[in-house]
Amino acid sequence: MQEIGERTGGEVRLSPSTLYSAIKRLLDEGYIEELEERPDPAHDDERRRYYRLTKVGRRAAMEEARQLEKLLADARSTGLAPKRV
Amino acid sequence: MAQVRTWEAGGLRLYRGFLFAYPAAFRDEYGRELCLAFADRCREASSRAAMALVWAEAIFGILNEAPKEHLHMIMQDLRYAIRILRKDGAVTAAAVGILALGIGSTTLVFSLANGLLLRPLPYLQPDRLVAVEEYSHKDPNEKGTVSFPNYVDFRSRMRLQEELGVYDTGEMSIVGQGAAERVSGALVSDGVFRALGVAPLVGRTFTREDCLPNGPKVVAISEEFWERRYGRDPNIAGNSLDTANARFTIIGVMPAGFHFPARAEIWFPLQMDPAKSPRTDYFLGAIARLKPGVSVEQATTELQAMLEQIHRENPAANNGWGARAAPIRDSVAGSYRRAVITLLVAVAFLLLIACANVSNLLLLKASGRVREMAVRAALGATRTRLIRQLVSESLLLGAGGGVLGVLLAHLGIPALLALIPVELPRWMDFSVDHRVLGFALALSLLTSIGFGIAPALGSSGGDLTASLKEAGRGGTAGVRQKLLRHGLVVAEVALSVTLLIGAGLMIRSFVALRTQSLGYHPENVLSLTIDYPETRYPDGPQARALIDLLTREVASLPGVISTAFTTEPPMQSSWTRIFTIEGRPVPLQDMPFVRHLVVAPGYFQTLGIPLLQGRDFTPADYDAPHILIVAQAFARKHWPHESAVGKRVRFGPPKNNEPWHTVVGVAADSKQGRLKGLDTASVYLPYSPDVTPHSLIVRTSGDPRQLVKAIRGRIAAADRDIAVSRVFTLEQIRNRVAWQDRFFTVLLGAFAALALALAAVGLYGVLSYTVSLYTHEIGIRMALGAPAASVRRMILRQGLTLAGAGVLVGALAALALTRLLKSQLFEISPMDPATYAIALSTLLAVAAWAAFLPAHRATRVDPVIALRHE
Repeated sequence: MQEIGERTGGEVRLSPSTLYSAIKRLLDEGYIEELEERPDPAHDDERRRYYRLTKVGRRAAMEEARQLEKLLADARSTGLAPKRV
Repeated sequence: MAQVRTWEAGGLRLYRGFLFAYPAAFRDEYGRELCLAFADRCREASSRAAMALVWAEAIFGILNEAPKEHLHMIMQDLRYAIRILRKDGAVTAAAVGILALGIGSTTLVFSLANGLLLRPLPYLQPDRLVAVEEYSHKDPNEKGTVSFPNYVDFRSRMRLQEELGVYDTGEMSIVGQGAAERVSGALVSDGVFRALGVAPLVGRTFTREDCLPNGPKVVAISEEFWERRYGRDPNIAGNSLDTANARFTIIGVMPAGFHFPARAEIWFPLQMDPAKSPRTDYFLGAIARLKPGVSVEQATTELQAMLEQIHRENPAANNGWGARAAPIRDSVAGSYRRAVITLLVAVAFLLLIACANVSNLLLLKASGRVREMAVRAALGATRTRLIRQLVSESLLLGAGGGVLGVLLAHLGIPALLALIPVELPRWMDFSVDHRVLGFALALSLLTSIGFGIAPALGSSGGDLTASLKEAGRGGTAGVRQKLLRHGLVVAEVALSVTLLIGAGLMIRSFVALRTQSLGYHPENVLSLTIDYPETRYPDGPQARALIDLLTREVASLPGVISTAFTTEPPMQSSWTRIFTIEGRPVPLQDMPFVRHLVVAPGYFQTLGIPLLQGRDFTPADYDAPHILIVAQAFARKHWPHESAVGKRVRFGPPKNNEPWHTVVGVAADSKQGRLKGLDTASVYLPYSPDVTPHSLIVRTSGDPRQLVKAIRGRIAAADRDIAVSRVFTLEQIRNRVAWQDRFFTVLLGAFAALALALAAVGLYGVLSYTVSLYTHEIGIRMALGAPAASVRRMILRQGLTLAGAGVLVGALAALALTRLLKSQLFEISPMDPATYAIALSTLLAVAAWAAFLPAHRATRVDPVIALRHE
């Protein structure tokens, strides 16, 4: 949550309820899966749960990124967004 | 520090409380993490404002996400349910079909109830409208009317009623300006429109002056009539309207959809002289608008007091009758209420049977799903979750059944109305409206819960390990489930027995009604109403000449055997009078009524009513009309030990001093009035200068409908201004007067037939399932040498035991419930043993057949295969 806040320069503040709802939906859709093995106990925090992207999830994320890229390209070509220098 | 910790713990507890907004499954999965994250944030909050922000975010997050989670879960349940239902297509189709029948039938009957009893009547503030009735204490249930002089006195004395109006209905022939047509009309006093709270669309309605004797010849018309005959001419007021008898000036057009009473489209002012109308001549309908806040009981008290005062002032008219106000709805629809309630009860039974059937179907399916449930439970699904899953399936089935059911009802209404051979009042509207839709929706929900709850509880509970172990053998139902299944079948059988007995009673009653002796032969008899211009044919020689001419003309047609005129056709007579037997005076309040017909010579011969004593009427009686022919029942009652011929009778109140009439003949009894209920005996008077009969009765050698055109032709040839209407064969009249019985019998019969079929299917399903469960056991028995017959007996015995238990319960319920039908039964007791015997044996026979098929299948079990199955 902190990381998301920092990455977006504080623009996106994710509350725990939004986060876990999102996680649940991603799990239900099969985009992520929960890991059973946990890291070395020295680096672990028992409160943490570990997830990783599934193949489907990765493909979906890449597809989403492609869509956004295309949208951005369109915006640039029509002058709605600044051209890359 | 300790203080801070306490605060923190308290806040966390509160937060945990908020988490209950989530579905349990979500809470179980992520509750701990959410609490930890919340606690972290609280700890990081450096100021009160930051803390407030954390709380605001937390609460907003929950409020935002929790409903989404619920919705998500419901959608998931529904998606899963659709998948399951599609997998079991046959079961789903059967369940939806059965539910559609049940919900459809119930919705259909409800739309009848809605149209008759619930839909607001199309008048202003209908709850303040009452019918005013005078009634005899001897027959208080008879729908009452009022006499004109009493109405005038009520009107001038009433305090609790805002308006009072009286009316009489009839049909009028409209001529000129387009094709001649016959329309429903009414004679109304000026108060009728004001009481109903209706303002004219064009022009005005009647004033008190319009309603004085010899008042102006004016008429008000309906919007439809205005459109049809005058093309909505805006300058309609002042135009003329011609009836067969006179020309009237149109003074107003009533708004669209306004019809009162029943189907009236044109209104004439009632122009009567109270001095010339007897106080005991009750023939006017009366309607009043109560002042705000006045109850029907208060209005009745006032009316009764006014009538008693009137009787004190006019002792000669004191017949001891009462006066009352009745809610307008009771007055126009009260006679249907009992039948509608009985139908609702019957259709509720059908719906319950449908539910039991679907419930059983799902239970059977559920026993096959025990394993699925056990696996899901083992994977962590809670019992609530499993029940939710099953309830979603039920709701989907219920919704499917509901949609199809409403469609069935919508299509069924016209079919149902086609069974009604008479024109219903315009206010009766049976279409599907928001009330019917709401009802169907509630019904679908209720039935979903009704049929879904047993299977849901049955298959989601139970011992997990046992289920999983037994699952290898295809799943065995527990004792509880078996009891439930059997209980449902017994209930189905019991409900259908009750319905069968009810329908059986109605069918037998209807057959008795239709086959009762009428006292004449109704086959090949036509009845027509003749409407001639009374100005050109006033009562007396002119009218007589016309009647005689028409009789001769029609009688001379090939195919006509004989014809005669009467005041009212058979089964439709409503004219009754009070009378005195010579030498046996009785006070006015005790005077009996007799059905009173005025007929032309040839009447008895045309209908085929035998004359038992004395002589028939002859043309010579026209000028010496103080004679009468009485029905046998009348003669027997009043002169049991002597001949009636030569005795004298006088009609009307004692003080009226009408002339004595001498009995010249005794005719066999015949049905002139109602087909069922108490019918008063009839007396017949010859037509005379006083009364000209208007109904022509024609007996033909073949189908009388073939002759209608020729008869109309002869009448038109005599005078083309004569309107002919109400052309019916006596068979048609019999159908029309008995339509309610027929309607009721057809519906009840259809419900009973459906119930029987559903019960048979239910029994068959349960026994088939039993056979499949015990395939193994049957195999062993047969391997050990049990003969096929004993196996068959075992299954049959189980089926017949269930059916027998149902029949017993059903018969007992019928004994208690068929009393509802009592008032509608004709010449048959609600406990008629023959009907019970037929209904019970029909059900047992159908049950035996439903049980025989699975029993027979059981005997074909191959022991080797059955055992290898293990």
